[in-house]
Amino acid sequence: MRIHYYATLREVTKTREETWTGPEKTLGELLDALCKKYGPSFQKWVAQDGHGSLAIFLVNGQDYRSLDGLETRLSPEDTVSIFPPVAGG
Amino acid sequence: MFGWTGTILRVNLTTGEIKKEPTNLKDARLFIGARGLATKILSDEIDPTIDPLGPENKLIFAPGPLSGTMAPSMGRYDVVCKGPLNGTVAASNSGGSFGPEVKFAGYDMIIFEGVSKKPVYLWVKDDQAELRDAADLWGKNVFDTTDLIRAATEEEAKIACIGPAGEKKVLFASVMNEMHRAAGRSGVGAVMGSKNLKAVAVKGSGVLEVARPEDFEKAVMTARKMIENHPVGGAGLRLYGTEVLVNILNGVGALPTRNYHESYFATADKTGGETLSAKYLIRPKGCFSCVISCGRVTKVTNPKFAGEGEGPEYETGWGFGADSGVDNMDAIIKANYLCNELGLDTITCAATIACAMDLYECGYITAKETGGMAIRFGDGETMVKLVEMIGNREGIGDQLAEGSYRFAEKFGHPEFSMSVKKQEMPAYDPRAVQGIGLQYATSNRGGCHVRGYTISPEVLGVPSKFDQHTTEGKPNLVITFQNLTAALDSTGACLFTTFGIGADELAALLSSVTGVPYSTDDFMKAGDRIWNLERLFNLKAGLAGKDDTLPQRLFEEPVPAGPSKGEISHLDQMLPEYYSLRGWTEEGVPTAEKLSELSLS
Repeated sequence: MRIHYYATLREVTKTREETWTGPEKTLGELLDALCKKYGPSFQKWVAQDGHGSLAIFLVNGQDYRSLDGLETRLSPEDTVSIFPPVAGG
Repeated sequence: MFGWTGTILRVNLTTGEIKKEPTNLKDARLFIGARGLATKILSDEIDPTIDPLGPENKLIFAPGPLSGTMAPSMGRYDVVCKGPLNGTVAASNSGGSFGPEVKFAGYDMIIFEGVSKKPVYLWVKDDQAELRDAADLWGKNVFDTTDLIRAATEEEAKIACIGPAGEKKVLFASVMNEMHRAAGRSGVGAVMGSKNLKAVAVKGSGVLEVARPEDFEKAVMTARKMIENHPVGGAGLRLYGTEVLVNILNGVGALPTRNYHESYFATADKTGGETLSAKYLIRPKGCFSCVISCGRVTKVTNPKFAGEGEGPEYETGWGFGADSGVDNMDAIIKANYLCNELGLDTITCAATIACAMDLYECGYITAKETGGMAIRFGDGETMVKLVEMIGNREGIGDQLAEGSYRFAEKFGHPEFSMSVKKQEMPAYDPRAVQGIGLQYATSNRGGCHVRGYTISPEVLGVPSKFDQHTTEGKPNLVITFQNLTAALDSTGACLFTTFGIGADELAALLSSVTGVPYSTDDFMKAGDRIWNLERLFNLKAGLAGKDDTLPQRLFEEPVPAGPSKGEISHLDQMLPEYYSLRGWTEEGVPTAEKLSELSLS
């Protein structure tokens, strides 16, 4: 699975993308694992009870809210893109 | 009187007469100010069928009742006239500090009529106003013009001016203020040039008071808090600017690429806000009373494209980036600087160049027509050269200066112009985002995103998430955004306050400033009224329901690759419901009943 990070998350994770080989089966599980790995400075941008409710998660270019939300199932060939809520224009 | 100053400055450029007249307060209450009120005056005073570059057009610089007050991000104004790019009513919105300065000098708007025999500029200092000779300024770019006029008037004067592009009546010439802020779209700069008006310089010492200071202070505190607490208005836009949208729109397969042939650009990341911040940003910048600071002060050091200034914004980064197939950020930013210097709308300029690239790649124009230049997607150097040629109307730039529709039509292929009503569509692909396609098709000035920015709900999920690929509920969504934006624009507020506040808070601010009680319903109704007023002008100018459409490419060529592969626009599923919800006939004409409801009959 490939994970792409954008905006502030690039500074937090120190990378633009990473290959993920963990056992997580859903988007929600993956986000929990990433929050554990990168800590509170990552969590604040994606936590659903805070600003993170405006974060955009794409699975293969499709917004998670048009799929199964945080229950969206993931497979090893998927690409997950995570955008913190910083954009407007 | 509060909010409105009660005085309009009227300048007859033919006779040189300058006079003051009272603002019509009945109209002010109904149409608020800026875009709305200036459009009402224009509708009353000109025949919508006149030649936009002829002497009968009027040019209005109009802030709103909130402009210049200490509510957050209230620095905006509109330049209003009949637009020469496509004959619609043009109200081009800009930030900076010029609008507030007009209010401080004591005016709700400055109206220019007629044509000056020789180049002039207007110098307004409080209640004194005079036309001055601009012979030494004619031909100078926006930056030099601004500096020279400040030296000749006052260092702190705010200057709105045209560059060579406006003087040469490029149909998408802009009016620039504070050098880098643009009243960009629809060619308002060309109208200014057609009147031999080089600039408007203003210095005001007035203090704006409000009707109900305690309510105003409360409303301001509330608005500030809501904007600052919003991740976009409060932090995001300052960090990355609007260019941060590049990777998001690309991520969902909605970034129009190579003149709308595709909607995914593989190297988009090189042209986005993250790259801009990392390599080119000097510091953020805000307009008058702004708490958001989305502006970018930037610099390019590469000697080939060296320069400094402000921007680029998202639409500019897209137009000179993905739409032209260019991923050289140095070239993109240089093109942006040149547009500001020459006074050109970045969206139409970039999209016109992209159209030329498309025609060239398909063999419909050749080196013979281009004077030996190869114009290809991805060629940043040629793209930058073309901006200069357009701004000065040189070589093929003279033809490109007419906009993509007339250019493509000249070479037998108008369908290559990615425009609506001859104004080029901005940076969101209607095949991938259904609602924005309806906005483009129905916007009162042609291809325009900002007056009905459904990207917010459809892609960003603000204030709530709508599926970008479906049509259900989109007509109502588009209408709500169009009405809200029309009212908001007319107050002098910045649209980005909506990352934080909404109609409730705007109505409260307007009420406490003016003393006129606007409920949220009143506010939205004013927006509906302004929208219909603009529609009426356009219908009288000769536009019709059949013009509410999109380029054929968006119906006939599905997106070939990327996250939105296979999609087309389903405008036909949305337009009839849009007309019906608006209270219009099936041909898109406001009914007598609707006009009466809005006090427009």
